[in-house]
Amino acid sequence: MKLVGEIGASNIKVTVFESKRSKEEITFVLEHDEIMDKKKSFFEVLAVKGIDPDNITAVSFVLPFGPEKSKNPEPMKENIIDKLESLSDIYPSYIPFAVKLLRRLFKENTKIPVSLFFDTSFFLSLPLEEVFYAIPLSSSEKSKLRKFGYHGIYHSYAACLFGKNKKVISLVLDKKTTVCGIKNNKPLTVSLGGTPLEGIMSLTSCGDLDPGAVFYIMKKAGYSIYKMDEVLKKQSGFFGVTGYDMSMKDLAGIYGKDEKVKLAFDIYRNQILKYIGGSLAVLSGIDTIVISGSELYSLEGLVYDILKQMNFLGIHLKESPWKKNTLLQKISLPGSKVKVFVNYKNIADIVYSEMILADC
Amino acid sequence: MKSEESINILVFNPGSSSVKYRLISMPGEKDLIFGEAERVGIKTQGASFITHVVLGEKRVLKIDMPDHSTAFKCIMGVIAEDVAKNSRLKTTAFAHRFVHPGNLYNKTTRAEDNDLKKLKTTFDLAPIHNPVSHSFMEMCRNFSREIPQYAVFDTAFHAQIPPENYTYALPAKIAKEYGIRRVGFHGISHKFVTTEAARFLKREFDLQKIISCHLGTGGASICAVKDGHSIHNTMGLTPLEGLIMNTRSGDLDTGVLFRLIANEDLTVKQADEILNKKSGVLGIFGSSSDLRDAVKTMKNDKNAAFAFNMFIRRIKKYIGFYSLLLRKPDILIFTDSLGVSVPLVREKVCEAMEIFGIKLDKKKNNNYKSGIKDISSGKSAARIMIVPTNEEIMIAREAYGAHK
Repeated sequence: MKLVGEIGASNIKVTVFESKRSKEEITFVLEHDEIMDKKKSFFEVLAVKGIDPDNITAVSFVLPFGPEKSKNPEPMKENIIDKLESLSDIYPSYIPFAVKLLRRLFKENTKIPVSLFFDTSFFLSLPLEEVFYAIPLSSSEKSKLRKFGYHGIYHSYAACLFGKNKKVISLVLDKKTTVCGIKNNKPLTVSLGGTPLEGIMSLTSCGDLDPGAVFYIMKKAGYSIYKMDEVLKKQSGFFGVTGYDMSMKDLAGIYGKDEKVKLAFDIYRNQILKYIGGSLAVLSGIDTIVISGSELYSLEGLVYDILKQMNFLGIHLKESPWKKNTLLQKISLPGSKVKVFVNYKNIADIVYSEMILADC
Repeated sequence: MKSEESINILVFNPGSSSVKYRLISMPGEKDLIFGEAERVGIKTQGASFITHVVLGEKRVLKIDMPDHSTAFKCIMGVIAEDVAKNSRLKTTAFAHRFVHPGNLYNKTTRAEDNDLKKLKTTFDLAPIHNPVSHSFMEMCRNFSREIPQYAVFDTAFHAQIPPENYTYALPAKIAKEYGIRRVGFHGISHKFVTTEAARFLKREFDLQKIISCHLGTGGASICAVKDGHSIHNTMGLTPLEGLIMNTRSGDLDTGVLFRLIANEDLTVKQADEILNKKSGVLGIFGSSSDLRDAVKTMKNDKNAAFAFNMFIRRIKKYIGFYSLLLRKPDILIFTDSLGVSVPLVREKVCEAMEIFGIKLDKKKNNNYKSGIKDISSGKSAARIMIVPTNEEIMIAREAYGAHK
C-alpha cells in the first residue's frame, strides 16, 4: 500500500491507497499531539489506525510550500528538510510543524521510501513580471517578497492533461480559490502566491484589497499589523460579509434566499472573473478550462454562471447538473471552441497517480 | 436662468504644485481664458510662473508663489485686469474639481458654507488633493459670495458601481464604520472621454460597453463603462489600488505589505510613503518615475524594460477582466499623457488581444498626431480610440448642468 499525507498547519490528512486495486481505502486526520507522541514512532501511530507498517511500500507528503528550485517529487533527504526549515520566517504557520515531523520521520524510518511534493514547485518557471510586485526591487530582494504560487499540484495536473501547445486556465475551488493561466505546460500567471491573503476571497480571508484601505483602517481603528492581519485572514471573506460562520456548501445552499449571501457570492464570482480575464489576456487566448477542488461539488451553480459570462469566447456548455460518473468530466458541448472539464480528483488522488508514474 | 443664456464658468483644477484654470463660456464650450500656475509652493531652483492665455493671446508671468493662496490671488489679479479691459470676461460661476468626497456626495453640488464644512472632514481620504481644492473653494467664497460655486467630484461617475464591485470582502461592520468601499477615481476624465468617443462614433453613449484607460504620468486607472456609467474602476477607496503608476505600487498582496513592514521595521506612515512615492515604475526602474524615460532606455536597461513590461501586463490583465464583466467591449479608449503620447504603450497593450475583439492598426497608431482618432484595424470588433482628456470642459459641463 501507498500513503499520501497532506501536511497542514498542525495536522496531517492521511490517505491510504491499496496498490492492488489502485483505490483509495481510508482517509483520516492525525492531529499534532498524536503525531508528536514521544512514546510512539510515526509508524506505530499509524498502526493504531490499523495500518500495518510492513505493508507500506511508499509514502508521499504534500506541502503547500517548498524550497526554491525543488521539483516534484523530491526524495526526502536531510538537506531538503534543512532548506525547508530556512523558510520558517516566510511561512511561520506551516513550516515549523512540517520540519519537526519530517525530521522525526527521517530519524525513525530507514526502509520505506518517502517523497515530498510541494505546491510551489510547479511555479519555478513563472515569468519574473509575474513573480515581482511593483515595490522597490531592493525591498523585494532583501525580504524575499515575491510570488511563489499556490495549488501547484492541482494546476500542474490540469496543465498536463491535454499535452503541450495548449492554453489552459485552471480554476481551483478549495479552501483557497486560485486561478492559473498555463501555456505549453508552464504557468504564466497565478492569482495567489506571495502570501495566502492575495487574490480571491475565502471563507474567512478577504482576498485583494486596496493597500491604501489597509493603511486607512489601521489609522482609523488604531490596529497593529498583527491585528489587521488577523482581521483580514480570519474575520473577513464570506464570514465577514455575511456574518455567518457556515461551510461553503451551506452558504451555496441559501444563495438567492439571503441578500448578504448573494452579495458575498457575487463579489467572489467577480474576483474569480478578474483572474480568469487576466489569464486570458496573458495567454492571448484559451483552448481548455479545467475546474478542480474540494468545493467543486458545492459550487456547480457558480461555475456555470462564470462560464456563461464567458460564452462570447465560444464556450457552449452542457446543462447543469453535470454527470459525476468519471473523475474527469467534459462539460462543454462537442461544438464548443473552448473545451471545459471538471476534475473531481482530489490532491491525494493526483499525488498517488504521480507516485505510480514516478515509481515511488 | 434661461437654458439658452450663456454664462462664464471659471474652472479650478488644482494639483499639489500647480493650478490649472479656465474661463469657459457655456454652453458653447468656448475657451475665453486658460492658464496654469506652476511650481506653486515647491522649493526648486526654477521660479514659479503663470502661463496665461486670454482669447488666444499668451503671456508668461514670473511671480513668486510660495503657496496656493498666493497663486489664487495672482490668478484672480490677472483675470481682473482682463475683465477691466473686456467686461465679457466676467465670471458667472466658479467650478472646482474635488477628488474624494467619501460617501458625502455623489453628484455635482452647489457648494454653500455647510458643504465646505462637510468637505473639510474628507482630507484624510485624499491628503494631496482634497485640502488644496477645499482651500480654493474657501478663497472663492471669500472673493465673492455673490458668485455661486460648484464642486464637481471625481468619484461621482462611479456612484453607480454595483455593490458586488464596490464591496471589499471585509467584516461588514468595519466597512460600514469606516466607509471602506471602492469609490473609484478619474471619473471626470473617464466620463469626458467615453462620452466624446461615443459622440465621435455617432453612437448612443448609454448603449456602449467601454473600457477607458486613463494613463497619466502621475496616476493611472481603467474604468469599465456600461449603461452610461462606471461599473468598475481599478482604483479603490484610495488612488493606490490597481495599475502600476509612476511611484505607486497599485495592487499588492496585503500579506506582502505586512511582511515588508515587519522585515524593514517600518511605521505605517513609512510603508504608506514607500507604496505611494517609491514604488511603481520608480521602484522597478530605479532611474526615473516617468515611463517615457523607461521607454527611451529599455533597449539597454534591463530594469527599464522590466518596469515597462510589468506596467503593460497589469493593464492587459484589467482589460481582460473588464472584457469579461462587459461580455466583450465595444470601445477601448486611451487617454492622458501616456495614453495619448506613447504609441508603444498602446501597441503593447493591444498586442495579441484579439480574443477580446481588440486589434490595433499599427500604422494608424504610429501616425497619430492630435485630436480624437480611431486607431483600430478593420478586423477589430472593438473601436480602439485615442481621446485626449479635457477635465476642465467636463467640470464646466457638470457645473453648467447644475446651474441650469
